[in-house]
Parts: sequence; C-alpha cells; structure tokens
Amino acid sequence: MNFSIEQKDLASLTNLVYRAASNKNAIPVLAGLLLSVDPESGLTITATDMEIGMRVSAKNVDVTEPGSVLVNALYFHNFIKSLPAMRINLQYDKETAKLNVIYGRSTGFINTYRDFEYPNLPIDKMEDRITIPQAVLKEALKKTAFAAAVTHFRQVFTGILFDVKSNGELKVVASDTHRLAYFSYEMEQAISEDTKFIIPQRTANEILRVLDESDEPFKIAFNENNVVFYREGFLLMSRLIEGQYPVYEQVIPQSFSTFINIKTSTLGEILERARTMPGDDSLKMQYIQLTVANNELRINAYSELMGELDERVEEVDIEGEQDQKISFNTNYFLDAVRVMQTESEDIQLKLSGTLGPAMIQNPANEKYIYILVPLRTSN
Amino acid sequence: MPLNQALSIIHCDLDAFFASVEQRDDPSLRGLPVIIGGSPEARGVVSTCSYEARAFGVRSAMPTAQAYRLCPQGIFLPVNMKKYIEASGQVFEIMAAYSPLIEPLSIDEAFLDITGCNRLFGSAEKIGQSIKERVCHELGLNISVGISCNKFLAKLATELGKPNGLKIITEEEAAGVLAPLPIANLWGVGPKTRQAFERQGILTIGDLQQVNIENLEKQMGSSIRDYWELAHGIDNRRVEPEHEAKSIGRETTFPRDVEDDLFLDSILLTFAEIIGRRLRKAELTAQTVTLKIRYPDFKTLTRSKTISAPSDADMTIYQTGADLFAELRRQNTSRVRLIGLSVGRLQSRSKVCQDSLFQTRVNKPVDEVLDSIKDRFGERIITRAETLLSDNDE
Repeated sequence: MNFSIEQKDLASLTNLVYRAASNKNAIPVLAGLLLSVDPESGLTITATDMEIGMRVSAKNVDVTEPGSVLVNALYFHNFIKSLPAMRINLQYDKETAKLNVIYGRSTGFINTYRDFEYPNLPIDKMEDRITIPQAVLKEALKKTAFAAAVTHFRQVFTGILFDVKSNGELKVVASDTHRLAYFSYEMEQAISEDTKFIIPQRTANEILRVLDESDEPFKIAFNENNVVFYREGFLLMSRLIEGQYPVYEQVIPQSFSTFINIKTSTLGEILERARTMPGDDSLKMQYIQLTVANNELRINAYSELMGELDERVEEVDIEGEQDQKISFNTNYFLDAVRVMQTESEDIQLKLSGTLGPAMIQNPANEKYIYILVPLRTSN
Repeated sequence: MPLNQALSIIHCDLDAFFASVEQRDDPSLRGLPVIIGGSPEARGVVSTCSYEARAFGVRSAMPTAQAYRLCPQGIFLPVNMKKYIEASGQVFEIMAAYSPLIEPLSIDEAFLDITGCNRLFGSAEKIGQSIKERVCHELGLNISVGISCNKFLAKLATELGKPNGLKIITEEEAAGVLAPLPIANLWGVGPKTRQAFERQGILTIGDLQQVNIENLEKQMGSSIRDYWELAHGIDNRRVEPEHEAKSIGRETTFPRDVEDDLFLDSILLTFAEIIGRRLRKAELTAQTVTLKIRYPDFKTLTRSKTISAPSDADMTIYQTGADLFAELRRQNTSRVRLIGLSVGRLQSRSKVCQDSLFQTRVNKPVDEVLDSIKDRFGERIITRAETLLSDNDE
C-alpha cells in the first residue's frame, strides 16, 4: 500500500472515526483503524467496537499502490494530528509490517497488525431508508438526546427512540421517565409501514459530532439489530437497543389548567441563579418552587445550607387557574430552557395541576415538546 | 477547633459476650475454650470465642473448620441468639440508668454520653466502675469500659484495657497514648488506606501527628484531614442515640458450592426484595450496591456500583447487583461458596419525590403492592416468581 494525502485531510478523517475503535482489550483488532486505498474509491478508514462502527472515505488521495493495513486507532490518530500541515506519504512495508509515514524530509513509522481478521460492519440487508436533511437530524438529536437516562434498569430509557410513521412523520423521543423530550418532523417521503428503533445515547452523541447545519441529506437504514446513518463519504453503524419503548403518546398531556408565557432569557437567567443553590442533604436535588397568584409568577429557590432566592418574574402573562404552587427539579427545567434559548424569545409553560406533568414549549412552534413531572413534596 | 474537654464519653464492650453467657449458664464450661458458631463440620464461621479459645489463635469470623484445626479440644456451641438478646437487653437497661444518651454499636457494645450526669452519679470513673460492678454482680458478665473526652478515644481506651478493663484516656494523655500505635488503629483505616499511609512513610499514629497536614492533603486528598485529627485525639462526632445503619445486606454460605448462575441470580433477587423492603420500612434510600462473592478457595471479591439516583426499589437493587455479578462472571466462572448483596450510602428518603411519567410501567407500584400485601399477610405470602428458583435452598 502506498498513497499520499494532505495531513489536514487525513487528520480530520481519523478524528471522525477513531472514537469508534474499542478502548478495551478484549479483541485486539477492534482497537484498530482499517485503512484501505484503491485508485477507484480512494481512501477508506473503518473503526468499530461492534457496538458502534464508522467508515469514512475521501477521494483526494494519490494512490500509487492499493492495499489495506490495520493500525492502532489511538496511536495513529495522535500521530497524524501532530504532523505538520503538508502532503504526507504513507507506505506499507510488507516485510517489517510497518506503515512508514513520510512528511517532508522526516519519516516515522507505525506498527501494524499482521495477518489480521477484521470484522465486516453488520450493514447488510438494510432495506428501509429514510432521508432527512442533516440540519434536521442535528436539531432532533440535540433537543432530545440529553433527556435520556444515563443508566436505567430498563435499557430503552437509556436510548433515543426514532418513531417513523408510514405517512412520513418522524418522531424522535427521549425520556429518563422523569422528563421527556419530543421532536417531530414531516419527511418528504412516505414509507411502507410504521417502524420504530432505539439508538444508544452514545450513538446520538457521535452523530452530533459529525453533523453540520447544511441541508445535505442524511440517510438512515436499519434492520432488526442495527442502524446505519450515512451520507457521501461517511457511514455510522450502531447496535440498536432491544426492547419495547413505552407508549410515549399517552404521557403527553392534552389539556392544561394554567398557561404562562415568559421571556426565555429572563427565565434562563433566573434558573442559572437558582442553580447556584446547592441541593440539601434532605432533598438530594436542586429544585425551584413556582407560585402563581394575582397574575404574578414568583420563583423561589431555597437551600438550608446556602440561603434563599425569591424572584418576581417580570413581563409574564398568565392565563387560566391561579393560586398554585408547583416545584420542579432546577436542572431538568433549565435543560428545556436552554433548548428554547436557541429558537425562541418566548417560552410557554403549561401546567396541569401541582402534580400533573407540565409542558414547556415554544409558543410559535409545536414541533418540539418537553414534558416535565413536578416534584411531589412528601411532608 | 472545639474540643470536648470533659471526660464525658463512655464506651462499653462486653468481653467475649456470647461465650461468656454460655459459660455463665453452664459452670462446667468455665475455664474451657468455648467457641460459638455451630459445629466444626458445618460451614459457619466463629461468631465469638472465649479468651481461653483465643489463646489457641481462634478468632471471630474464622471458619469453624479452621477453628477446629487450631483448637480440636474446643467446645463448639451453636449460636443461641435469643439468650444473648435477652442478656444484652439487661446490660442496656443498666447503662440506661446512667444516661439517656446511648448509642448502641452492636448487641454487646455501646457509647454513653454522660455530660451533665456527674451531679447524680459522680465522676465518669465512678459511673464506669458502677456499670462494671452491676453488670458483673447482677448478670454475671464482664464488661470492659473505656472513658475519654470523645468517641474515638473512649473506644480505644476499651480496647487497650481489655479484658475486663476500666481505662481512662484524658485529653492530655491522648497524643502520647496514640503515638506508638500502628496507623491501622485509627478509626476507618482499612487495608487500602493503611497502604496509602505506608507509602508516605506513615506507619504509626505518631508519624501522622508529625506531618504537615496541608502538604499531606495535597498528596492524599482532603479526606486525610479526618485521620490527622483523630491522630491528635480530635473527634467531634456526637453520641447519636438512634444509631442509623450504615448498610443493609444479606449474604449466605451455601451447604455445597454452587455453579448454577441462574440459581445465584435468583438468590440476588431474593436478597434485593428483602433489602428493598427493609429500606422502605426504614424510609431510607441507598446509593451504592455491593456484591460479595466467595470462591471455594476462600478468595473473596466485593464489587460496588453507585446508582444514578438514590433508590429503595427492589428491581434497581437487583439489576445493579445482577450487573455486577455478570461482570464478575465474565472473569471467573468457578463455583461460588458464598454470595452476598448489600446497599450502602443510606440516606433518609428525600422530602421531595420525582415521580415517573410512566408510572404504571415502572416498578414502584409493584414494590408498594408487595409491601402492602406483606404488611397484611406476612413476609412469605408473596414474592416474585423468579425467586422461587432459590427457594429449595431454605
């Protein structure tokens, strides 16, 4: 194998994929990056730990001799990114099993795996395809993935649900059971039947790393066990989370007793201040209490350890039932407000009693919904 | 740093308690090596042994088979818990005559805070002496008493005075008494911390007294300051009458070594149900789950995991324990002699509760229903079907 490429291009390719390689030592080849070149398809780099797998390719290489090698992902990535920005030449020496790297008048080499058996990515038999613009996929994941549970004994809650309806509706949902983030999008195409799949949170985060704001289409294909997100020159495969996602539509409340409109920035600032109050030992979490009375909204945060904050919210508009006190986990609330800060000057908070789930929304857009269960004080 | 200067804390510890009760009740056992913990053929461990048996090297928590090898002439008796509980109750009654502030540490050990009791009963030494005399005369048992200005020093005084001792450590004496002792005598220093100290060249409590604590904190972390304070005889913990459990757990040693993972798994679920129920009864939640496995060669492994939010749910405890078990099984599939599950970092249930959106789909209501049925009809009336697999063990 012998090829030349700009250091900058190679570094950005390895930067995309190296994290898919395994950092555990169970199966040595999985810690590797598979580099393949041929004059037709250019350079292809693959990495997988079998949970997740990525493949990138680039045409802007000069291939002198086709071939493929397997190198340690982390060593290769660290080495390549540290090289000077110039055209570099990589040559495989069969006898020594070393990958020589020539940059300017300097050289280095990286050891390769001899006689390796690298697994194929399990991406065969993937039929169902949906296509959405990158920017939409990015928005969907950015606004939902954070709401999934880091750990939960029901695995499905650690994942992000893609619920695809045959009429072309796509719903992306994540919930740790205490809050739920919901994003919907009308795709241009219809598909043959309703389908659902659940991707791990790590997969969502990896996709978010590679997405940009362009309208370039991203394709999604899946079978029972795996899903593939791909576009020209890039492919990400992931294991799907097994299990039945609960019927999330049922937990989205349909009617509300109180409607509150607030400036997103005002609410964000208050919550950031409230977050400075530590969670007391007896509560184990930071929380705020909202009081709705006399057409006023007050937000209170109290900590036995630190002190108290009591804010009268300016420019607030309240409709419906008043005289309510309702408590929320400060951080869960702030997560939603941070999403709203990216899209709307105003935020609408809909309450259904002091214990019923509340909804946080952009009043001008129903595409995104955040449901949050209030805290129950058990005194 | 405020110091409790007065000699206001008494630590009491009954000597070889279970064995002493047996010797008291059967005079023919007096002067003989009595070992409590079942027959040497069975697979239990020694729970207590008399001082005569200790001379042979027998210790608490040692397998009875090993105790038998060390002391074949030993008299092995089963644990008669009912009898010990009764005796313990009588001892605590005597202690309660001197102070309302009693913190039981176990069935045979307690702290008393006698602040303000001197007017009624005289000096701390007098109170200690009269507890000893009453326990000896009225109950026929020896109790060791340690007196000092705080809990750490009082307990240390008991240890240094045993058996049947009455030892006082005054604040002035503290540093001198502590200095020659090995670092492991500090409260909370286990093998790991001891090794960490030894790597810093700190072998005795005296060595720790000498160090510059700011420098040591930089190297070993800020928790090291607690040990440094203890080394200087400073301990500000109060005697807490309602002593809260630090962990709740269950373990079992099998009559025969087990290799059936499904069976072991069902044991974990059974334990999780018992632990979850105890947590909920005590209105506590736990934040860590610990799995303990002992192999036939006595190699014992414990693995802990922190759960994302403090919990009292059976299934959360079980699932965390089962994950730890699966992890251990990937490395070692040999037979299992003992399996145990416990939860730690207990805290009172939060005053605020974050309910679930999917209320009907998660396990909280299941726990609630099981609890209410058990409350009404008894503990064994209902259980999860998976635990039935472990039932033939009992």
